[in-house]
Amino acid sequence: MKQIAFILALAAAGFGTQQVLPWWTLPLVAILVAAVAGVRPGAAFWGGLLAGALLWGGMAWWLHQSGEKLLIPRIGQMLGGLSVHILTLVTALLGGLLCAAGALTGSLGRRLSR
Amino acid sequence: MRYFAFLVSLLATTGLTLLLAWENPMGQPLPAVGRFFSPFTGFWQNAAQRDDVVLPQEGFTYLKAPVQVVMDERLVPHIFAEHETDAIFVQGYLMGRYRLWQMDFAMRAACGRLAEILGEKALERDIGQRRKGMLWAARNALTAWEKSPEEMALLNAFTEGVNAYIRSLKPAQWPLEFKLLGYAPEAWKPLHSAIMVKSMAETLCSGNSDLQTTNALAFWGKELFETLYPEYNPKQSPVIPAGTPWNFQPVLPAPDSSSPVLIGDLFRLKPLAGSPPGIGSNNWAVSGTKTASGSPILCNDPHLTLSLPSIWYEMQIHTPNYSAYGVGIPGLPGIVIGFNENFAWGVTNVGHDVLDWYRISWLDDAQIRYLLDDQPQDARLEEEVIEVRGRKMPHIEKVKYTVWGPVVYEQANSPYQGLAMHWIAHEVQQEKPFYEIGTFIRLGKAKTWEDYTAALHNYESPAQNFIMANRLGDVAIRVNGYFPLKSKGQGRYILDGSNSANEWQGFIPMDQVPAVRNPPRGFVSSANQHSTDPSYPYYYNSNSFDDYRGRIINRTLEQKNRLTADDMKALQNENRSILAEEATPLLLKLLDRSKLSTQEQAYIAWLEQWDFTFAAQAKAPSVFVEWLKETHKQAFDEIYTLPDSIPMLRPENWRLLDLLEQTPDHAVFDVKSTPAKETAREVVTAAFQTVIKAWHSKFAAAEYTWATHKSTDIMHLARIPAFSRMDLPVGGYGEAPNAIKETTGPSWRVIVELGKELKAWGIYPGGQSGHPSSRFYDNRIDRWMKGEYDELNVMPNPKASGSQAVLFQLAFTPKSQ
Repeated sequence: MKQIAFILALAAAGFGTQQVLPWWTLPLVAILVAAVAGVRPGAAFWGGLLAGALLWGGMAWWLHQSGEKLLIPRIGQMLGGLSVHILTLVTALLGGLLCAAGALTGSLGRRLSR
Repeated sequence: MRYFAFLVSLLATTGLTLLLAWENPMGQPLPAVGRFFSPFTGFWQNAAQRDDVVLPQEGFTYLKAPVQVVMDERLVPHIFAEHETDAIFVQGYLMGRYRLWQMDFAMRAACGRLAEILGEKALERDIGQRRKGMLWAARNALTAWEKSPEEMALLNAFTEGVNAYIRSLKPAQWPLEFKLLGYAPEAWKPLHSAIMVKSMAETLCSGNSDLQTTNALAFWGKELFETLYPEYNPKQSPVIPAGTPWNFQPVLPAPDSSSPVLIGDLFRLKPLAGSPPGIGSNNWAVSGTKTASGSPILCNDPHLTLSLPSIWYEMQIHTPNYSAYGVGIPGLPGIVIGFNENFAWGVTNVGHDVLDWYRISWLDDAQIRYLLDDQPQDARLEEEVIEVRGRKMPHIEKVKYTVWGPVVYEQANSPYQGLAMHWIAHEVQQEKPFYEIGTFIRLGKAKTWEDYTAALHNYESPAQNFIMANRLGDVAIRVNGYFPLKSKGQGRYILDGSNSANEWQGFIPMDQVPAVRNPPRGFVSSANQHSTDPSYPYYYNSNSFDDYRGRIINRTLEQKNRLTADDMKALQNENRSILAEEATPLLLKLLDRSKLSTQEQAYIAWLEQWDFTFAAQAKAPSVFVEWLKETHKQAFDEIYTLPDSIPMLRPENWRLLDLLEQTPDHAVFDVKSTPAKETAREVVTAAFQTVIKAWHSKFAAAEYTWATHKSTDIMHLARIPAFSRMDLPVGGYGEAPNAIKETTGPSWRVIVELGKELKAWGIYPGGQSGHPSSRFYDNRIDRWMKGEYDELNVMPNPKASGSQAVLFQLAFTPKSQ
């Protein structure tokens, strides 16, 4: 339950801050949320990965769906023939890794102060 | 241990973030991966952008009154404004919204600022543009325009409009290409529009072959040169019908005032990259006496580089004084080809040689002092600062300016040699009430022939065959622009820059340029051919005059009466060529069939049954085109075997055909590398065999058609294939009215019938939006390929959208005080 709450909290915090802050603040947000939530390192990493993937992948998917669906196939073709699904997965993975690395760092950092 | 794990994790997080934040990864002009992929800032944002939604139009301080825009179903804006400058402001805003990156990129390409965004690989091109003085020319133009309140009001309105749009954007909303190349949009300036005018001049009137012609004269000798390169094609059907009287007293130049042609060593220079061959256009206007409806019909199709985003942006501009509809160029205020309810106009390129090269005689090793009329002169040094992405310091290019213009070539044979460029578009313009931009705005308001003539009087370059028709029944054409006054042959070759007598001797007076109004044949037309027959009292030259499109257009219009818009559509899409009509029987007659194998013989039937039409699915055109090309190569083997470092003029096709027909035993047909003495017959036969040997495997394949052989591409400006349309299944030929070639073609086809009820049709190979995310990006290409047209809907007011569906409306309001 705590794990799910952490994932949702991180995704929500990421979504909120990314509206105004540059993309590279996402790991910082993950550090903070993981440190405050006090999740264990393993849970932080996998939870962060999922939260980041949900955030970037979900956002990407939603943006693709709300447009005319013409651009992403062209971008995929430009990047060597990637499909829309693969491109969404790559984006999800990048967001996931940024959050996973940040969350792990936050979790390990909090353990230092105990 | 805990500290160690934490530090490793922190380092990994930082490392990952830094890796994804790496700008210009691996030295490429690319964005940081994190920013580009982030769905909050990168390309995913563009995926969701829609061209057909109303964005909030907050109060604009620039506007004097509200402006209403109706976007029709093709995303064509119909701009309704109380004030002309308000309309132009909104034009700028909309060109920004739909074509911002295109404007930025085209401006940079023209003035030599691409290295700033593309890095080293664009530096050489930038240096060429700067040495040609493109930026200098634009600054000169703007200096003159600044004295004209009319011109500046238009430029400022446009600039303010573009910038109002740019200011409304957050980085996440920048057009995709800015994100892809990782740079920010720059505020538009009046200078940028001046650069776009000079870019038009570069495309349309910087063509010259002085270097190649000088080498050809030196290589062949005077007698053979004159045989191979005559200036006038007797079969020509000129723009101004032969026999039209010249009702003026010419201001003739002093006879033979220029010094003799420089003949000596061949010039070994790499010629500057010019416009792609294939730039050209057709236009014609038929008087009501020759149409079924009794109303005049005007047609135009400019053949330019096929690109995405499209060269043209279609729109209607409506003010209380006038309502013009047509296409304009992103980056320029106004409409370039268009019509209003009373009047229509169109353009084709004139193509006279208005760029001459002067050899500089340097007097010192530093190449600063040069000789002019036995006196030393100092060249003025200009430093062109070129920012290069990835470099800390900019590249400084030192350009020397002489009385003739910038010394563009400095790497000539001798260290004391340089070639200075003298170009009409470099000239500092005189003070006038309005200039090029004002001309197009005035054409949009014109009603009569007098309005048209007055508007064109101040238009200098690039010279165009301006065609018109009006509701009063006039049709007219003017070969309009500034043309240097030259003695015969002047500027055809490289000139001696140490003699001031070689300067142009003024300009042809504007009321003496070739022009005709309501000629007896009932129509006017142009297709980049010779402007006049040889009776015109002034000398002009070009090596790019058309020889075949103009003839078939004039033949068709002469033969037919009771012409309709459908006839006009058919003529714009005509794939038949007079070159093929004349060359095919001649080549077949000269072909020695006894020498051919059965396999080779089989191809003869293709050509014998051919209707000389370059249809997409036809098989014969590929054989014809390759055969003619190879015959040219074997006939003039003398110049094809020269090294590439020697630029050499090639005889024109019409001249090759005349020689084959009239003097088949001419010495030029002897192939130097063989002991036998060849004549036209052997050359033509050997060329045929060479072609079949090289191409048989392709020609024989059932699916290999003319369209495959020609392979037309519409490339994205940044040459990204995924954003382009490649290998189009489309016919056409450079020497046919439907001049679709590999990378050039009819960039806008328009037909206007000026009857009681105005009717107009048009299409271009692209779409109104420059965004690859939009269905309006390339939506008209398929219909363009089929030769179909859209009906152009001129709206009298914002509420009367007629038959066309309205996509959405925009209301631009002034800022309340």
